[in-house]
Amino acid sequence: MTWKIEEASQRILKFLADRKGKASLSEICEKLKLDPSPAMRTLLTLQEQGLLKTFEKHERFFKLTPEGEAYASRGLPERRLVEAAVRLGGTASLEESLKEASLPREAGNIALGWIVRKGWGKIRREKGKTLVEAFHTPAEGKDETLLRLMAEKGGADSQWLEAQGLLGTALELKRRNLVEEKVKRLRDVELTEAGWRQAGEVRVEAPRKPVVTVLTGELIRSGKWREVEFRRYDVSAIPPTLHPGKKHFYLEFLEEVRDILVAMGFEEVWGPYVETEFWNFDVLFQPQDHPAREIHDSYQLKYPRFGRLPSRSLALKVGKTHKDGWKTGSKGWKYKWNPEVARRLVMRSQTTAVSVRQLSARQNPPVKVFCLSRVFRPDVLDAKHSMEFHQCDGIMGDWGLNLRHLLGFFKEFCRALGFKEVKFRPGYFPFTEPSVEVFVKHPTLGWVEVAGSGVFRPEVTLPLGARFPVLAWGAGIGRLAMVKLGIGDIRELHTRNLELLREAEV
Amino acid sequence: MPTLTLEYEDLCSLLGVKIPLKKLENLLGLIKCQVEKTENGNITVEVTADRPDLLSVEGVARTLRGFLGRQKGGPTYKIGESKVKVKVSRKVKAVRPHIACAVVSGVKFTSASIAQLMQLQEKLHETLCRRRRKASIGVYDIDKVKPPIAYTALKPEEIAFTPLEEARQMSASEILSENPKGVEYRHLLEGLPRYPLLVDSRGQVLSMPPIVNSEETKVTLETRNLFIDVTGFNPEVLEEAVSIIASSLAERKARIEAVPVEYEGGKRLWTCTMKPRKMTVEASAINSLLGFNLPVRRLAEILERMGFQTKVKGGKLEASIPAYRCDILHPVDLAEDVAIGFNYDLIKPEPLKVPTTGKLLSSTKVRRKIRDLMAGFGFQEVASYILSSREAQTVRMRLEGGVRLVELANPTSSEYTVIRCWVIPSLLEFLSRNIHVEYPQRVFELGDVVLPDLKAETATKVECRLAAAITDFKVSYEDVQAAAYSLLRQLGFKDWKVKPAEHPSFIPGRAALLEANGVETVLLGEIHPQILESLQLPNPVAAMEVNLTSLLPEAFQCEKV
Repeated sequence: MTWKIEEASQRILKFLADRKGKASLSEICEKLKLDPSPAMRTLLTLQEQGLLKTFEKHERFFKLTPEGEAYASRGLPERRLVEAAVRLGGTASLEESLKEASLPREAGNIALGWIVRKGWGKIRREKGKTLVEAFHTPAEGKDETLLRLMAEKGGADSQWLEAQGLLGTALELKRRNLVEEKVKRLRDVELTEAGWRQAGEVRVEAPRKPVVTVLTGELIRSGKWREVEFRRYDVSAIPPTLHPGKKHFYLEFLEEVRDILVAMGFEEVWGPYVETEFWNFDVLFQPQDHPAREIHDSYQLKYPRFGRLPSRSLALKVGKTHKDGWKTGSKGWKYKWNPEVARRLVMRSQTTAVSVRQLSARQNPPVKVFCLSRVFRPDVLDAKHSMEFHQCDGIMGDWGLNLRHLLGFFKEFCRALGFKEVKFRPGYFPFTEPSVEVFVKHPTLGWVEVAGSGVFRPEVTLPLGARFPVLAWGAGIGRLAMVKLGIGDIRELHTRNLELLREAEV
Repeated sequence: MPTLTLEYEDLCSLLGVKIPLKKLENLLGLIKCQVEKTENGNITVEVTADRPDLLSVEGVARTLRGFLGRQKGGPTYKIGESKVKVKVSRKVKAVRPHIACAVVSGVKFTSASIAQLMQLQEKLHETLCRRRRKASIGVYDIDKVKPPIAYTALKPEEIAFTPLEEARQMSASEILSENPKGVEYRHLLEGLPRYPLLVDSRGQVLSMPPIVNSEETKVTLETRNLFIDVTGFNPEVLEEAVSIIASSLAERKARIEAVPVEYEGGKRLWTCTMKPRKMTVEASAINSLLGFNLPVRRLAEILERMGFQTKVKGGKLEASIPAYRCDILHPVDLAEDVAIGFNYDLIKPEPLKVPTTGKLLSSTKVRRKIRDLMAGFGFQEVASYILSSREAQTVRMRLEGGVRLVELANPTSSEYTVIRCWVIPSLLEFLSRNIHVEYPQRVFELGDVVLPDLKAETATKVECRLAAAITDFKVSYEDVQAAAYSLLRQLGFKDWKVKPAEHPSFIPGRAALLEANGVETVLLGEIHPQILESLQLPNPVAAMEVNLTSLLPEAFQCEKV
């Protein structure tokens, strides 16, 4: 449980402080009654926090073999043999002595060798018999002492043996195969300065109150919360991720553009997605054989196929303007205008259709409106093309307006969108003259074309009854969003990737 | 817009001055030739669609010379009168009634100039000639032809000649089925009783407009004298096309000769006379359109540079418009040339001061409010295309028949063939792309649908809908019901009728219609498992769709035609 580690770490710090800042892992485990592996994890965590340092070292460790253990409890064979001889009167045959000592025959030679080496007795041969001669019980030898201690302690490390002057003895016993040597990894722990400071603030008290996890309404109402202790949490643990309800990043960009235009005094207007060719093309002085009206450049409808022309008189004026210019001063396109073609339905291919619809309904200047919506072109969806995308179109109509006001508008609009440098180039649109293409300087992409614009031709405005100059502009707002948001693939504006939407910056 | 390739060296030599490439690129942008790229001394430009006279290096050089002040009032081409006569048979009347011709003599081709002529012909076919439907152009070596030339129409089986780049004589039907140009343009002739044909006095075929020329009369590097014909339907366009080609050749010192054309039983006229038109414009009209305040003489000087011979008559300017400038329909077109001649980089922007109060559509305001509410309820907003498919809208949603969709006649992909009639399918498709993304998934879309409405001006109506969908390992009717009820309350509705709904897209007994404002405006329920299965959605989905147009009619009144 995480909270235990939390508590354990405080106790460890306190313990170390009591030990002048140093202790070994085994001491810590022993004194604080901790299991070695969780204790080790706690130590490593504390080390990461810079509160203590751990040092690893390797130590020789000696342990009794099973034979050693047997001798430790029953005595070495040489002692048992000598003591048997003593009991038998000081001199006895080997057989008798072994029997007295309950030693097996094979142990005889080893025992005899050690008796001689330790000077505990003498060995004589008489009439083909081996005799053991010993008259008093020898004092405990160093090897025996060590066996005893090791049996008590369950082993001994080299450091301790050295301190006791028993390291040589241990090696001797190892040679006798009574002791085996192992390498043991030890860890020393030392408080750092930060650890000392932390330890100074720790007050470890045994919890005297019951520990609860959940603060219930009952605890609050009854006032019993005073009598409990709350389980401590690991406040640094990683919580689950929250996915807020979020608005779409691209649609939010569009809202920003709307706000900019409203701040610049534009009124927002609306128009339908399915449009008659009349509003989409004819009013815009695009002749009926114009390439943009071919199936490669606009979506035509299979159902329904035809709409209605708004009014007979407007249709007549537009038709005559196409044919010979009507009263507009133009020579027109010199062909017979067909109202049936104008009635055909298409998917709106330019939001300028909305601008002219609005203009026809607003005869009194000033007119300053914009429409931000979708348009459609017969393209196959890929990184650079889309069959459906957003455009923003606007018109500004008033007496006295001219081309320079159009440029002035763009300077301001582009600045509001975050582009300081703007340049203008001549362009062509069938419904504006002069026409202007607008480029902005992007820090990495260079000059990027963002809008087309111009002054509506008299062939557009006069049939609608607008006698004042009308400045018109249209911006590929999806492209602008890509430039602003650093998006390279147009499909990403309508992404179906939920993770991307969840992570998108708002 | 058409693109065009120009050789840098060739352009400079036609200009008569070497201009550094960087500077030249900028200059081209100022005369409606936007540079796309420059590679190995070749400049690719995009020419605006109104200026077919700029579709050759010669035309570009002519315009640039004026823009730079190296030439005023445009070039004066001397137009001779050709002895080559063209006779037009009555038979062409029903198939391709008009022709305009020119003879250009003293041509000295280089590989660059012959390539430009081919390019110009091709680009004119694409643009001004509307892919040869409106007009088509032929160019021939006149020294391989024996005038007079007849423009006639013969029955297909009477026609046989060797088409350009072919090795043998072919019949008309062979040409239309085997020759590449024949295959490409046969739709322009198919079904006609007679095919148009240009033949000389010996019976040598020059061409079968608008398909292909004959091999025998073809133009090579050695050709010195050319015959040009443009056939089609609109005499004015034919004259424009022939003028553009002839004048481009004249830029390289060739001589243009007008050609007499005699219509059988009708008029006789000279074509390619290159006679300029006159157009008068008030200086004040130009100044007020452009926001300039230039004296009339200065305006005349700019127009002269832009290639129009101009006379000042009081406060008026009378400009002569060269025959190749077919874009000048109205005095505003001359005004634009003044703006271009003045240089767009030097026009000073003027702050726009029109005293208006900006405002959003009432529907936009409501849309914003609802999007905020939905986000507040913990839904992620989604933005789908409104184009969809019948499969996604009805078939997959278990709606068989009875639903008339607004349908495209020329879709570009099977995924996008109709306009959606509801939004829930868009959300289900969205969810199906995210089956491995962390759950729960709560999404919404506020978007439009289009429905047939044959009484309306556009025979359709737009409705604004809100759709929301929730999917999780466990999700139920109640989850989406909670969202629907909360939304209605937040929008100020106090009570509504709940009617159990039997809708094929939902699990029977787990769908409802809510009637607020006296109309059924909310459809909600648990999506039918068959739909989940077909979209491979591994978890249940509860969804709702709100018709905002009928729920909040006042706010959406502005979204009506």
